[in-house]
Amino acid sequence: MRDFVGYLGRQTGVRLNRYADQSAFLYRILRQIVVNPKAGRRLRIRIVVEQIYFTAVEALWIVIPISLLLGSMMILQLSGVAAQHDMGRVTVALLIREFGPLITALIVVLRSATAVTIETGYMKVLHEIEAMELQGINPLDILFVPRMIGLTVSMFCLITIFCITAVLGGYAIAWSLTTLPLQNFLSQIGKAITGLDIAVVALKALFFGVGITVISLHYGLAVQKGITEVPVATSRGAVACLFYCLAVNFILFAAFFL
Amino acid sequence: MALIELRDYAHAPTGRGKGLEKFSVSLSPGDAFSLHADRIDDAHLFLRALATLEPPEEGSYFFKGEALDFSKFRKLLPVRRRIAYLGTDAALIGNRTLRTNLLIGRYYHENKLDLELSDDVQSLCRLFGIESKLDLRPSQVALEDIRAAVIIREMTKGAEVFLIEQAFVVLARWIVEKYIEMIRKVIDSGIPCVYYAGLTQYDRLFKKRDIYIRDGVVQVV
Repeated sequence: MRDFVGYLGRQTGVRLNRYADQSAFLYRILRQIVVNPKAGRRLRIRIVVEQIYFTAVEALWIVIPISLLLGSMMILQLSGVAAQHDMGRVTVALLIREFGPLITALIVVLRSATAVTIETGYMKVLHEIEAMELQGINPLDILFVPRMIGLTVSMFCLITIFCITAVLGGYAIAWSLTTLPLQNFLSQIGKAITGLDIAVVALKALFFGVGITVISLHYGLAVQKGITEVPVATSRGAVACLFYCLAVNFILFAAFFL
Repeated sequence: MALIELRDYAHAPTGRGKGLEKFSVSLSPGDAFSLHADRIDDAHLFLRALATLEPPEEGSYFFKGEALDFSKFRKLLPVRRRIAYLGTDAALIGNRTLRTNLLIGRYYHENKLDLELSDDVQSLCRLFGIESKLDLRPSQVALEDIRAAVIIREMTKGAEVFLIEQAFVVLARWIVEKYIEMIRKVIDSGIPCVYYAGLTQYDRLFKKRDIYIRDGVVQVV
């Protein structure tokens, strides 16, 4: 029993320490974004654009088909079981408020967060971050800040695209493939969606983008000795990102809709 | 005034080394030290300590008479920029081309992206035979090209101290001779230099004084 309590205590200590580290790291990145030093400003902007390209533009060919499939499936299912007058509200609650942000976050974690952890881990092990520092370059400026801005902006864009494609594309597919009654579907969505829904989705995008960046960078930077640590860090980082997104999703739901 | 001074500095062992027991050493303009160590890891640790890459576990680091606070990371960056570190672990940024690697310091500090390689960098690229590989990434070129790019980057950044480790490993013979010539010019110009050859044939090329590390004990002769 004492061993178990000891184990529990140690694990709690390790986790609290990690969260404290991640919070401090987040503070340093946010501070650097606010300070926005003149040195490296253009370079930073270029790397932000590159990050948005890698995270958002290159993910479109995954996000759009998934949103179409999910949107059409959900609309077809809902049109079968829900009363017509509830369909708009149910679609907004499930597709736009919950599944859209979560599935987009999952895609970003699988594609970009893992890539960020791997890249950062390799840069740490191969002394590439030191190489920057020896040029007098602050890695926060051109490595971490652009990742955070790029990933968060990408998250906003991808969630928006996901939701629009899922609703409009899903409606179009359902309308063209079936004879199910889908009258007034779009006007129902229009009536059901509120400013609060949009604000909560925007908050999710913000929290997901910031959190995923901090967690994936932190796990990459935690790599100490060798390249063999990188896959382990990547796997743990991805799982941590997933739990973080689910927790944030629940907290925001509880805060605004319970 | 010494450019770099390590006072009562001590560091725990890394790798197969014995670490560095408490020692003091200073580097002033005109100094050229040849480093001799019974363990490569201790020599490596010593050079990294001078390059501010290893925070002291005990003791202090002074740069131009000013004590460095290793907990204030941002304040170390201007110092690191003044140190040319040519250690075996000196690297290029893997996801950028050689050209960007050679320009990134200027991109950052001058806040401009439309910069071209300066004449001295271009002539060194020609000298080291990497001129045609400038638009390739480090993973696409040979190890000696990476080493050459690191040397060019460090040699042209306007450093005030040179720390050189196993300088001739990886480099082709014809480059080695040019490199030796370059280091000679640096030392003749009075820029302090600490040099660990690793190979006895190059041990005494530039030395004015010696630093010995035996079983973790640092001795300046």
